[in-house]
Amino acid sequence: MLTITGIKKSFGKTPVLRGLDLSVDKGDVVAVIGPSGSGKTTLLRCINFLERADEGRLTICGQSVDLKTVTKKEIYRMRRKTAMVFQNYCLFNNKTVLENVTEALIIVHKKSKSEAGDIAVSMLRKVGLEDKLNAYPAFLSGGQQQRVGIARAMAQCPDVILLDEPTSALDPELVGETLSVIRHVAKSGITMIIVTHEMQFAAEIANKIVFMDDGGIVEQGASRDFFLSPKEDRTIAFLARFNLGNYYSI
Amino acid sequence: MSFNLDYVQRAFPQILSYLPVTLAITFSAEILALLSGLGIAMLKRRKIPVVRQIIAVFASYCRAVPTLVQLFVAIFLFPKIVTLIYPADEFGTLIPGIVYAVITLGMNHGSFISEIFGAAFDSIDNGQTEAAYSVGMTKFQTLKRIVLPQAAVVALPNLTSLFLSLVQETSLAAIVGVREITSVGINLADLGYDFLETYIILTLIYEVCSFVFGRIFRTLERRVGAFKYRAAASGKRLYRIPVKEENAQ
Amino acid sequence: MSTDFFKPEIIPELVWKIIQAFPLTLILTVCSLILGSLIALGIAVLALRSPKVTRGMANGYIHFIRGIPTLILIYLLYLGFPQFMKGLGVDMSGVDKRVYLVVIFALAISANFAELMRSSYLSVDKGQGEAALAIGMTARQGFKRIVLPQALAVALPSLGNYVIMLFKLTSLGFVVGVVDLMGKTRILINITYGSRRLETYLALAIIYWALCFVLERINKLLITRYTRGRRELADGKAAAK
Repeated sequence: MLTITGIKKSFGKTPVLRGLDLSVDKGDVVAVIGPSGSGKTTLLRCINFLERADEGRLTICGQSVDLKTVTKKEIYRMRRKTAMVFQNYCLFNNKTVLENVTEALIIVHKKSKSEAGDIAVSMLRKVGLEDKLNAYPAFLSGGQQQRVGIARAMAQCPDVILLDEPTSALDPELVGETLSVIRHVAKSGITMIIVTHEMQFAAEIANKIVFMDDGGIVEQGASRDFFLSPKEDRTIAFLARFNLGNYYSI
Repeated sequence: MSFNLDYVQRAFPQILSYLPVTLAITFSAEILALLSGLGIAMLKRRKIPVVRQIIAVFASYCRAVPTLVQLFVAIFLFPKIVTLIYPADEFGTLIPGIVYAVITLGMNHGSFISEIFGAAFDSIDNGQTEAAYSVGMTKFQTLKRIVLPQAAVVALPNLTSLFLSLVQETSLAAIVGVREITSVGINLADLGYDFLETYIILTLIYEVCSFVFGRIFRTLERRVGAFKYRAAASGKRLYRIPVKEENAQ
Repeated sequence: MSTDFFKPEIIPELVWKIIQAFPLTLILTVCSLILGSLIALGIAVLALRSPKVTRGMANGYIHFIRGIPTLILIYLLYLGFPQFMKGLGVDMSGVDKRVYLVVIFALAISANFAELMRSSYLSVDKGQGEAALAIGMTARQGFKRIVLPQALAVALPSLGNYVIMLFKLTSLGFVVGVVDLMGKTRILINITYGSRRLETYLALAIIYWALCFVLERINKLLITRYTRGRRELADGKAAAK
């Protein structure tokens, strides 16, 4: 349902994505892992058109665009099929928690205020923040902000949710609550692509792992196979840094 | 002590009746300043080679040259330019001083405001725009609903103090012959040497003006910046969950 | 078109004539800067003291000065104050105009200075002073060696702007008849019966422009010197990111 072919992107003269292909099926939870600077985040941002790729094709649910010649209109249309959860939350500072979720529903999806409100409340209930509807982001903890970010993404009813290192800006004690919300979302059957450094978590919730290095995909496969029997040397070297025994020994 | 109360009773209403002129200069100049400030700020972002240098020179002129000198330069320069273009036309010499006051003060403050706007826009985190794009908003929607409301909060305190200084700078118009409160006051004072009384009256009027405007702006700052100063929304923005489900039970 | 229309070639000569009056502008600026700083220091100390009354007084003063146009302040003190003193039986006619102006400009700038001193002092982290005490410095040493330099670094950019503001403010002195840059300009215009007004004012504008340029340069140099530690820290943070 989401396929990328031959995506290339460079910043100035530095190539960040060197023509990689990726395909995601409906209901997949794909974890993209790899060392910093490998292009994971850029890949995600290109799918959301926050970064314009230089070359390649992107297809989501039968709609396909050439990334080189894509028009503004196409970008707006494609963006509606995806939603993004940012590393540093990026909640709208001038909007309340509820408004953060309803904003796009009203402005972009042209829903009525009360309808948008209903959707938002049910989403915020799912992330456990129905008591913070009228709070402003500045007065929430990082974990709470990120949960609002997730609710905002889910409320758009996207075909794919993109999560860009959703827990790496959080204080350690707040990571747990956020991960459990993501776990919950993953189980509900929404397609997700998640860039993460939490290897344990990736192993637990993803059914497919993509390992990137130096702007390309080194290895990908079903989660269990990937972690238990990695094939490439680079993958083995990377995974050796994490202690995953706990999870797979269960 | 010779405090001429009789004079005060006579002069106060007379001076006060020119307050609308002072306020008219203030507001016209402020509107011009906001418009030109926004325009200059937007032009600056474009980074067009020659335009950029012109803006930089203009900004440094506004910063370095006393407002009064700017006012004189404008008054004597503009008619010459008009004559240069239409040699026979007397139009340039017929423009009243108040117009020069408004344009000089307006452009001068516009230059400062463009810097305030620029800084305010720069202070908004890139993530705010990106988040808006990611949920499908257009550039215009993002600007109007996300960026501008936040930039306004950053800009407002500076705009306030600039506006308050504008109120006072309108008194310079007296020197170039505009009939506003200061010049009317000076004339009255000179007639009977009632300096102390006159300038106390003028002080009072200016103080009250800046107090009132300061208050208005502060209320505005609080309202626009609610998301910064308050933990949660109140009033109209307060959302209550509709109770229909509970009723159905 | 007559050759009389506009003569840019006489501007250099006018600049030379006007700049003869620069010493007075400089004296007015420097003297009111010193006096203004002293007044501001007093106000800032009052504003930082705990009793509400003194804080209220300091705030009231700051608001009052900020609310009155300098032109009105000049007239009020130069023309109104002697009238007031005369009523009390004191003759003020012997006081020099320039003394009036120094006091007036000092008052006019003191509110901004006081506010700047207060906010800069408060911007220095409390821990800095405490750390100085902790390693055995006296309160005085700690303030002088640790807190003050840091506060100064915070204040410098605004301080530079205020000095430029004061420098420009002195141009209003001509209304009481002193011959500073502006006063000299008006005299030159009167001598020529107003025939060279544009050129003369342009010459004056050029002088202010150039002098402000010099002031800004000096300020930039001071900023680089005083903020060294901070900048390196900030750069380090940026590099770490």
